[in-house]
Amino acid sequence: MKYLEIIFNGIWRSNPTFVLVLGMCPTLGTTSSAITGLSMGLATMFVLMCSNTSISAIKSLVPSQVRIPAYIIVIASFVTMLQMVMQAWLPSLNDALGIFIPLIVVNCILLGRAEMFASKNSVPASLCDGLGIGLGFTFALTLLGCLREALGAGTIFGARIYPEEYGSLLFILAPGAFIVLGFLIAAFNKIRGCEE
Amino acid sequence: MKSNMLTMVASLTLIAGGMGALLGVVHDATAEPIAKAQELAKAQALEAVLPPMDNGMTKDPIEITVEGDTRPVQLYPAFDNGNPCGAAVETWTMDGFSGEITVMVGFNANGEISGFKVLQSAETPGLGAKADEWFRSEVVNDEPSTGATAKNKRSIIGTKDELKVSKDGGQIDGITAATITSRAFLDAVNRARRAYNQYSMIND
Amino acid sequence: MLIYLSIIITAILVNNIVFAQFLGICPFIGVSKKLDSAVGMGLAVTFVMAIATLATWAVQWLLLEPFNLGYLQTIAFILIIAILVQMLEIVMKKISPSLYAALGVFLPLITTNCAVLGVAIIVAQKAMPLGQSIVYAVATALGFTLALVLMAGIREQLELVDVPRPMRGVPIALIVAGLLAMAFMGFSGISV
Repeated sequence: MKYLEIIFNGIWRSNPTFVLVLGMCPTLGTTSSAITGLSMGLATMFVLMCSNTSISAIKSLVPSQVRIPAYIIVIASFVTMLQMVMQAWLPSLNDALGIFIPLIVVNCILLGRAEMFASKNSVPASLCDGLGIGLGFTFALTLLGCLREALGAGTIFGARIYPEEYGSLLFILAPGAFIVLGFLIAAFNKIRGCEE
Repeated sequence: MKSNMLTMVASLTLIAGGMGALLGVVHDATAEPIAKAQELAKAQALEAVLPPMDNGMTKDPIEITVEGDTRPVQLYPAFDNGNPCGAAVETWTMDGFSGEITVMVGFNANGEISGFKVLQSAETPGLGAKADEWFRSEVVNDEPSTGATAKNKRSIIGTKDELKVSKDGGQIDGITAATITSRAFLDAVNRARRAYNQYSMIND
Repeated sequence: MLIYLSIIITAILVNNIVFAQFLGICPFIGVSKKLDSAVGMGLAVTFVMAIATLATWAVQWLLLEPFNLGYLQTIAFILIIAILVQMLEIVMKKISPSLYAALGVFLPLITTNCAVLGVAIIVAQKAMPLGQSIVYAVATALGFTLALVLMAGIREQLELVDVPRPMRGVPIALIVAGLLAMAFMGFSGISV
């Protein structure tokens, strides 16, 4: 049951977006619609699971002084693989996410989990941590994407919920990203405050 | 692990080598699908803007720089039984609301616009798609109650002249509440028109 | 010359890296509590971004493109930036301890600043010539500094305001950033 706990911890108690407040750039930049937010979350989750697992597997081989460059090499390689796979089989999604795919490399979540979790824990635990944190990130991005798409265009995942004319475009534009995320984090703080 | 110069270099080399090998494998596996996907995207864009023709497009575009520009546009000549029958022009504008917009514009043998497709834009999300619909739709009677808008026109299909939005005294209605984007779009189309004129002059 | 002016205005105001492109948000939220540190961070990023763009431009066009290794772009760029930041730290410590005292603490944070890698990739994607690339990088970094300084000024005032408890810290900072982004939208559509 330990592994389930690690996964749940990643989704809720140390949610990368709402609690740790990491990886803000893709969170704001790719959530103008629910589908792009979901895809970005899944892409990041894929890299995170691969990098966490491999870093945990090689942790005893890496001297501590060069561990950061070693982690960067591992993460950057997996990001490059993801880029190639997406260019080959999901070109339109790759275009939609654009520069935020290569920028997964500098997402603080990846290096942060490598340093804080994968370098200290076993391979299966690190895999679960990657899955949990990845799901937490995907959950946050999808939620933000749904809200912005609903408020801005009147649709969720492309399905219309009210006529387009009533939507406020502001929420799809840059200011809406900041404001909706601000209120979401505040709401999360409130809910967690009641829980404790 | 005890760390000294030797183990540090050795471990980094080992990791870089291992990841490099893995990358090479993935690169080999994806190289062909990537090339295919890019070719397909280009072919689809060309097919969407040009009238049907019997033999395919020339693969290599001609670069034409329109007078006053520093950056060229790409012109893909089309042939029907070996005779030139129009062309597709991959054109651009820097005047969009957020800078660059690229559009593929097709011309038929008479020099009329046969189709177009917005390839890339950093405009407000959704505007690129909207432009794709708007400048195709012929609206003869926008408001039935007054019936006064019979001459309003949105579609650029079939035009042969330089285009302007009606706000600037031109013949095309801009997208509602997106005048800058509409102007920029027509700027890109006009650039394609000039490039096509240069091309057809050489050919004649 | 006009093209340089256009690049500068676009990069600082119209397409501000923080408010319009969503890059460099982590330091923007993290280091914008005090005006002094905001200025320091901004200058350090400007310095690194100019040098990193020069280096990655050279690698892209002298190494990756000629040898058809474009797919190694991400990995090559991030390693160059990481090494560069490390070297800058060492050199700065030796040559100018006073500059190091002012900017040194920000340097390690810059490796994972996605604005630096982002600009390097944008410049390579658009195939800008060297001169334009450097001007673009410096102007973008100045835009980042502007955003950071504006934000820090507002947040110093915000310290004195009674904000509802769940909104304190990051949420209110994000909402302020949203309002600033709205103000920056006023610059869209400017063309030189």
